[in-house]
Amino acid sequence: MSESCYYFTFLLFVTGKGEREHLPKLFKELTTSGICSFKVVEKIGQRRAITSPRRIAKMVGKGQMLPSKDFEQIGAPARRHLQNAPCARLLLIDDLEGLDEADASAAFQRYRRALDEGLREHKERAAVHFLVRMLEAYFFADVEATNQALALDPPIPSYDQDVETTIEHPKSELKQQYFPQYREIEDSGKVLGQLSLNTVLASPERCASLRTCVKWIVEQLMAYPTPNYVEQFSFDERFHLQTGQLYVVTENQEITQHPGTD
Amino acid sequence: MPNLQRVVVKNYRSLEEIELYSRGVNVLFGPNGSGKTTFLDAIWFVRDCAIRGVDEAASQRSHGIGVLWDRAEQNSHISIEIETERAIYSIEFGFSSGRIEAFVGERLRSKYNDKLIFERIIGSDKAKFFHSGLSKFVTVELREPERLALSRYLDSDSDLSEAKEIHLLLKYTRKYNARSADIHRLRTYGSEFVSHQRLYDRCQNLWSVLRNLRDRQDWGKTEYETIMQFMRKSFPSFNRLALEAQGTNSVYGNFIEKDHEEPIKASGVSDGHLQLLIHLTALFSEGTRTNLILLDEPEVSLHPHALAVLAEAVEEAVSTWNKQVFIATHSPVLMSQFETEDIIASEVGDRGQTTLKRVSEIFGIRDLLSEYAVGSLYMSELIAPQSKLETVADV
Ligand SMILES: Nc1ncnc2c1ncn2[C@@H]1O[C@H](COP(=O)(O)OP(=O)(O)O)[C@@H](O)[C@H]1O
Ligand SMILES: [Mg+2]
Repeated sequence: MSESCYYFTFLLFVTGKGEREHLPKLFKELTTSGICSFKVVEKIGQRRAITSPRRIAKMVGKGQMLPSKDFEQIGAPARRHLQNAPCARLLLIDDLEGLDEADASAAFQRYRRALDEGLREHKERAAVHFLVRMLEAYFFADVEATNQALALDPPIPSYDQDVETTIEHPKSELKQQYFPQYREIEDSGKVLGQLSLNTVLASPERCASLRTCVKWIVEQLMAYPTPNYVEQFSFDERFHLQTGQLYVVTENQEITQHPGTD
Repeated sequence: MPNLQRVVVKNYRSLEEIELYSRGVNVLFGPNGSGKTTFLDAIWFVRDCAIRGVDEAASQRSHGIGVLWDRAEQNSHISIEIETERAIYSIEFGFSSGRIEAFVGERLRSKYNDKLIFERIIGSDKAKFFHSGLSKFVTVELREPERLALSRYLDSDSDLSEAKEIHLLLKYTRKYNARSADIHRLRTYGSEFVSHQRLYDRCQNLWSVLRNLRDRQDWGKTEYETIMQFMRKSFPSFNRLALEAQGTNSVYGNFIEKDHEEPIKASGVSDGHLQLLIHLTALFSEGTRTNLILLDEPEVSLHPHALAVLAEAVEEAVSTWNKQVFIATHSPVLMSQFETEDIIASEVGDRGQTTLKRVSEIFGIRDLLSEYAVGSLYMSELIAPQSKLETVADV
């Protein structure tokens, strides 16, 4: 990957139907750098561990390989989006609702393989990350933003633990305790509009999965021809990208190598 | 070396400007309305002009009404150029009050010395022929100006090799559209007797051609056996044909199947059997004569295994029977049977114009092509996508 890019478009593959429309807003602080934007380009069906052994179908006659459903629905669209867009990056983002770490790892492997099969030499421009356990978890990591966006009264009190690991079902929690009329698409949009990564990632011990995702994004931005331009935004320090907790499942994805920045 | 080497078409329907270097096998595939049929028809149009005359060729195409590329400038012409080993022949169609002018423009060039051999401008009833004996151009009055000067030139006594090459290419071009084969007639009435081995465009003489191949002493045996072999390969229960005379002037086909005692009449066999038999007859009935064969959607009625056999037959016809074949298809299975170098993706450009691109030259998908069936990449929209990329939501 020797393309030099002055602007990065992060293309989001999200799971589920309408509910992730506003996800790009989660990354708005990164866009203040002025060299990137985020957009949802595909909605894909959620994948979990493969339970039956993989069968490779063959074309009648010449017997070439036929793509799997994962290739068709994830790998191929990924390829379509990236192959003629050297400065595009792909982020596949799923929820980890109800999964333990082993399941999460299996789901990760599956997404990763689907992407790798379609992308081949472009695969380093794509990554898989998880919202743990779901988007609404992060609402509790910046209660001020959430309280304000949803005009909560009484407000959610500040929450002093890791929202990724200590709240079983953040969406139910939100609905049951604070905001019964929560509408996923609209209201998540309002909250995301205010939610600050500075706050969510303020504690290095918390939100390992989201941090891993943000770290990958920032590493991509470092391919900017003059990386010290990116450094001036202090993303590493603000989000504790070098020193904070990372998520074991997603932290080892190949990273785009770029000249002059090791 | 394929007989037809290159085709250039301008302003013919969606073919705003197309140039294609052809090979032995040429598989055009792409979404509906992307211009595959139109491309085949462009070649066929020239053939019709040469064999049946411009009037007849134009009237087959609504006299040219609606045929000019719809964004062409005023007073534009349709032009179609075909190139063989020795010659480049082009024909230009002008319009007189909206209809194709029967006196077409023409030009024949020799590739040997890059010299013009004859030329005629649109609307003229005369042509300039290069007279090799006199070493100069002479103006010739065309007795039948609605016929091509190419034909007239063949009647003159000049050195003919280039003109003849073009003429023979057109004379031996065949076109079959699986949807317009007259299967009903073949099933119900059989075929009228003919004495030759050429399958008509609508295939109504199929039984007669096959019987000639089988029964003639001097030719046809290998051709017939080749057709039967591919039929057996495609349909394991197929044994042979029983072709019977009906009265003195027609022939009818029956199928002898392995598990049936009685012959099955053509009226009772599947469309797929008949359709494949037609394709195989088209490919092999004329033996090793050099033919350019245009097959539009041959996949109709055929199951995947039969398509694989059809592709094999096409490859054999090209490699050992002197055929050159163009196939227009949207069957991912059929296209997957061919080499990627032979596959041409047709797409619709932003102004509705047809674009043709060799799949092997599509940037960036070679790694996938080496492993996956090309048809499956088409279905995954990595080649010739029917839909375009779009964003769902952004910030
Ligand atoms: N005069 C014209 N100018 C531009 N486009 C035309 C004209 N006439 C027909 N077309 C378009 O050309 C296309 C021809 O498609 P066709 O060759 O039948 O496609 P295919 O065989 O690939 O399905 C159609 O989309 C039709 O709308
Ligand atoms: Mg067609």
